[in-house]
Amino acid sequence: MKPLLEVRGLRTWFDTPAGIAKAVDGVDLVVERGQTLALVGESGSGKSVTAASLLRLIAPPGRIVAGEVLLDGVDLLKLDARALRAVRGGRIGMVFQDLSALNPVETIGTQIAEAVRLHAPTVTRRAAWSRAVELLERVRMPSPTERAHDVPHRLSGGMRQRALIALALACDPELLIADEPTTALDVTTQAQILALLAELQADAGMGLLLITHDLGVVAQAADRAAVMYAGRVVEEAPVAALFAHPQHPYTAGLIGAVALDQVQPGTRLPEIGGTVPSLLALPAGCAFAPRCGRAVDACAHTMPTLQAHGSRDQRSACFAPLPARAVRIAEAQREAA
Amino acid sequence: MKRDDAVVRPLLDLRGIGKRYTLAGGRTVQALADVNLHVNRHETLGLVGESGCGKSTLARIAMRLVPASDGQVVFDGDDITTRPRRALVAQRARMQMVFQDPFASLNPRLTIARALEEPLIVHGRGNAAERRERVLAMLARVGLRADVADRHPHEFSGGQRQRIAIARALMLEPELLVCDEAVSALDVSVRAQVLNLLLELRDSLGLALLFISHDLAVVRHMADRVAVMQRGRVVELADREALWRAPQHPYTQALMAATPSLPHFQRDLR
Repeated sequence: MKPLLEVRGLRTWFDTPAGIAKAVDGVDLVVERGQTLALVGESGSGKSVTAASLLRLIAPPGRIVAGEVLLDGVDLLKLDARALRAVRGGRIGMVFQDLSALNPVETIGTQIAEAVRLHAPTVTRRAAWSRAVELLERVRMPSPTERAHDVPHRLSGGMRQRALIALALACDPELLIADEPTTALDVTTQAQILALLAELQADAGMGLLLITHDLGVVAQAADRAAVMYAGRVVEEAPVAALFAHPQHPYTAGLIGAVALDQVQPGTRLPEIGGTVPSLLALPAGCAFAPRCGRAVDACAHTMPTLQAHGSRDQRSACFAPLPARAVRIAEAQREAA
Repeated sequence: MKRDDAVVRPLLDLRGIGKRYTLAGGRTVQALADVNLHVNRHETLGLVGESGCGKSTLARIAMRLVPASDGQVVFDGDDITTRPRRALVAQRARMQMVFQDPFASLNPRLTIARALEEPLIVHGRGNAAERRERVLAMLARVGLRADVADRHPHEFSGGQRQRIAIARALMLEPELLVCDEAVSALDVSVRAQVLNLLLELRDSLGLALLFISHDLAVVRHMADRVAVMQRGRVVELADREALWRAPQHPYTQALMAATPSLPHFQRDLR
């Protein structure tokens, strides 16, 4: 069976006065049905541009230069405008970080009903409205019948995010792309929204591509994670394996930098030295090499590709991956002896 | 035995602070109600709460950037609640603030050197040569090279700008630094760098910190004591250890439960 979504060799570049910014430069991803893949990275890593590229929501000076985006085997990058419109908000739903994705002067019920009718024009207005209320109920909007008559600014941040999710679910999508869906929310609301997404996904067998900068969200909500750095995926693994034994030094650094609960309060935190390279002038080899303590000669001039180094389920793009835990312990013991 | 007055007297003492805003139509909103907090010398008080709880308003009141509706702001034993702006100059040098958004808190038209020099000029400290020397020393102190001095804010990343904002706040050698979500806008790898810088400066300069954040994990790492705010009130105030060992208030417990923790991972990552 074909994966629900398979991305191969995606490249999205931006033409700027200073040169070509290679925001996404060779990304491969797979999202299976009923699975949550987290695409995680820091700002400028290319995760949001990747998400936008999947539905060809890239405007000049950006352009998709190469790659395939296969939804159930069909390349979305080759569809004509009409077919693409049917996919957007149809087979693929989207939730964005920006709560202003809702129209401020229409009630949320009207907006959701409109989305229902857009993809199923035979549905009556009345039936579409009932469907909207039903969707609001499904995303656990308190008092959905009343809230459907509210315009967005009457709602709290958490309720607006629920309305956006209801909007994305209007056409029973097979794949939901959620770009930082909880970033603007408080932690207590965030936990509720993540639980809701997981529940909806399990009920509907939907695939979920969750774009986030927050490793806490990854740990809480995803089955697998792909870590992006400077426009490429540097590691891809089941979430448990990623946290237990990261292979790429960047992944390890990122985990070390956020795991505040695992260091003595007030002591120096492990940090990744240096800064992210300019997308206009990426090194020929691994983009992380200049900041990497494990870099070998090859890293400077050859681009590593995603490869399995131990378990087949975990792949990283690194010439000097961190060894598995057992090997590291054995090495440490040998050194100590 | 009588203790030294300067030791027992808090550096910043907020007494019964309240803040009301009047909305169009005459309704009032109680943003803060009866907040009592103090920050001792060389101490970091963490202030944690969700958006809208009043923590930033409290910081602004402490800095005398907005007036309080009730209560007193006492700095080093000196009631500054209603002191006229012109008479506040001496206190202002002793308390400085770092804001969340390093893109908005630096004047885009000033060079970094000029931005750092400005507080010295306002407070009439040193001649041009001395000021330049202190600017360069401070840049080195926060881990920036001397060649950044003659560049403009837009040439820097968020993390570097936050270093610059911290440098500017420290130019007058303040005793109290108020950090309002100072690392919230930063990427995690940069966040670690800036937290390390704050810890290092705090210890070497003997700063007192009022460290405000929505992020419990960050507050736990930085603070000696922690105040938890909800809807304009302090609902719990405790030493860090005690708070994490046994949070008393249901809201503190809810906050802790909602904060995602990472699975335990291999520690010897290098």
